[in-house]
Amino acid sequence: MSNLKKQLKGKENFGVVAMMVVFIAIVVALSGSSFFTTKNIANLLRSVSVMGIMSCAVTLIMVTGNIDLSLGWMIGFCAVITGQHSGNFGEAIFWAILAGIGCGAFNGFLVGILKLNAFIATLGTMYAFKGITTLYSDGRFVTKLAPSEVLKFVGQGEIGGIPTPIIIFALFAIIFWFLLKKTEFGTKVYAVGANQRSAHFSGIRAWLIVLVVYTLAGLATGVAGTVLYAKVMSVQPYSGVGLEFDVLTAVVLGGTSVTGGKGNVLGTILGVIFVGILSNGFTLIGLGSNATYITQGIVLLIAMWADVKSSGGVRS
Amino acid sequence: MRPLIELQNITKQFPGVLALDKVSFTLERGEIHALCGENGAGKSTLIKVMTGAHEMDKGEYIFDGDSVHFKSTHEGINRGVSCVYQELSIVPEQDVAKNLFIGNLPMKGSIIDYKKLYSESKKILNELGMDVSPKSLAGDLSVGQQQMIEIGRALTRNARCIIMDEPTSSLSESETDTLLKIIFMLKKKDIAIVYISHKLDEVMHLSDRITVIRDGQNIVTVNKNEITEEELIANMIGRNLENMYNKKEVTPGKSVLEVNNLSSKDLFNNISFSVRAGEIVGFFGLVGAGRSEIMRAIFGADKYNSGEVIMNSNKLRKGSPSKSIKAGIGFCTEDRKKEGLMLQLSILMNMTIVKLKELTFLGVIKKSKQQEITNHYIDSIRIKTPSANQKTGNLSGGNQQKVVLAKWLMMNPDLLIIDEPTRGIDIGAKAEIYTLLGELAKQGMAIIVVSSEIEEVMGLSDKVITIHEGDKTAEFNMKDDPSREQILTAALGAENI
Repeated sequence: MSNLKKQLKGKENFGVVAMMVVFIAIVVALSGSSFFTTKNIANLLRSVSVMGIMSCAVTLIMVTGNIDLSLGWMIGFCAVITGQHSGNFGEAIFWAILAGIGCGAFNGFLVGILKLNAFIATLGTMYAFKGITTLYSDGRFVTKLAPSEVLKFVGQGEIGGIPTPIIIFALFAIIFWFLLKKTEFGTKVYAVGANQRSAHFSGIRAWLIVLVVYTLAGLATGVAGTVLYAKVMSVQPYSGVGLEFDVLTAVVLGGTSVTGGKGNVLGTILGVIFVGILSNGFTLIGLGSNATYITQGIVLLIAMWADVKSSGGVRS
Repeated sequence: MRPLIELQNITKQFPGVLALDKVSFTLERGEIHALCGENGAGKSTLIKVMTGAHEMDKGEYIFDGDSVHFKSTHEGINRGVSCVYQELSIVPEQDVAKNLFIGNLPMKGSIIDYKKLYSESKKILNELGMDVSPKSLAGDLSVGQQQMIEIGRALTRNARCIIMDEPTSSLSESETDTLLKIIFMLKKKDIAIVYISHKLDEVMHLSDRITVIRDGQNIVTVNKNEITEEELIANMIGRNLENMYNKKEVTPGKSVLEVNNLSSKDLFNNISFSVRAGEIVGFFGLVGAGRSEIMRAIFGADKYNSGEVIMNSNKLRKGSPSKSIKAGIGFCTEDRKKEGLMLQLSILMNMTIVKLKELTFLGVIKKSKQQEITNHYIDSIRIKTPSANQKTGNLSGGNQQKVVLAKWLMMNPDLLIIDEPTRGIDIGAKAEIYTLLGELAKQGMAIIVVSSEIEEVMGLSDKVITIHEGDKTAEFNMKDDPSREQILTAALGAENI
């Protein structure tokens, strides 16, 4: 933990993390013994796993200084596709990932190659994905009576007592942490976010980096869509709506700068868990979802403020 | 009468650095007082204390006889302390008048008094000798004119002291002359000026008194005529500087770069030249003559219309910096903050970004190797920093420039293009960079130096090419010992030689 602490401290978002920890402690104290049961913790992590898988990938998008608003309908699309092929796991995951990669690459094409503003471009594709998903599913909820056993295992199984969705989340967290911190690609992601012009003059093809981060987010969304379906073996086409904002909240709470160049996956994981605890813990202590929304909003604003404070420290 | 500003034993500490160590400084009314020192000496911190951008830790600040303690630049401005920073703060989308009165617009009740705004602006523009309509867009003005607007802004706030931080670093020669005239005009109006510049000829010409700061301490404050330029330099760097351009004799090798009839619409026409291994070619011309544009086209950062660039006998693809880098070209851009560095990232990341591929195994960075090579360069070109993980934005200008240089040296280019190698850099770091370039040429690197300082171009180069309004007007072999006037004349396009 101390190593983690050091790393976060170096990123100057320690204050936000400390605040999250204090907050969590209060919730835990109020909820008494019911919070720290293995069952509750597993429940909590399981409930944030879909969002977590996406958040890891979205961290990369945000580090390049971009954003993705289309993820909510994109995951709906991928989940619906999974549902349509749920008799055969191989087919289901193949088509879901392909659809995710296709959607993500299209976003990447708009932002990276056509150089459209990311906010507007993904707002546009959000509408497009909404239409496509609704058309494809006929607007109806999707379920199959004889799902594949493997798919069931992905959504509801356990490995060594740990629910499979949590393991998939952990896997994605490790992969994206590694990608961002340890590889040449990750360094270029930071470079593009910090100063695209300097990156260009250093021979980095910024368009390619942006295209790849969006495509990776699409891939993650494909997997997340499959997990989303497999958890309950049915899905509404609009079931991902609002998820994109939870994802963005988690990433920003984790200390990723909205203007790019700064952020890390470890922080994002904390952000994801925090958002999970907020709804889980509040339910335990008997506060409803509206209290959760209000708190989530306030915490997000505080996190933004902390980001502004810390980036003001650069000598101009 | 008491001086306008008296600073007594000002101390300012930053984490890990004692930026100001009991500095005392006085500014008389209507005095032009030059502040000299190397980058990182503490000049910026001192003026930030004066304006209120930084709060001092210890010491006393007496303004016009009152002990003050400014907590913000706003308080400073209200008392009459204005600053024109190196980076201009013009709002390009607004007109000149609004820029002049920004934050201080004349009001009639709760609406802007446009009549007064434009008539007052006209007055200020006349005072500054500017032939510009107050209604023209500030973004359409030249850099020099924008700077005048900044000075005008100080006048609208009834400034009694104007601090100018490197005001001439991006001005052409005639713009500089205009600025100097205006400074004398301000002096006549009893406005005191604190003038910071690395250009010592300006300092000697302009100032009444000179204060030298080194390592956060006031080394000396003297009247201008009591010190020579050499003594000034010695005080700034704390030692005597021998020959700045330690040029070594090099026999040029094979041709590295050949540029044939390169043209880009409205920017430059029919540029042809070649650079050989071990040769330093200087590009001289006025700001805006098209020198940087030519370099950007060669490097592939900008496209061009016709012509070809041949690097080591291979034709280079247009518009691809990554291809140019692979072909062996390194390019230190003119604007290190916008085009050279990623200020919020570490020195380590900035330095190794070009060489990154060689420091990886299957895409994974070998951290220890990366750390090792970065530390090696930090030591060998003497970058002042506590560690390789320091944010580049926290370094001084000279050290930032060294990081940019190191970034390109690491890839060991066949050709290094360096645009304004010493802009905004103090004299000690300048000499170090000149020596470094000389050594690189000796090792066989081909180098192009673009500069608007004629001494620099003449001192460094084997060959000087002059550019005027996008045309190559002359090429001088420095062995033929061309005079300064010959080169200047060619750069001004007076006649083709």
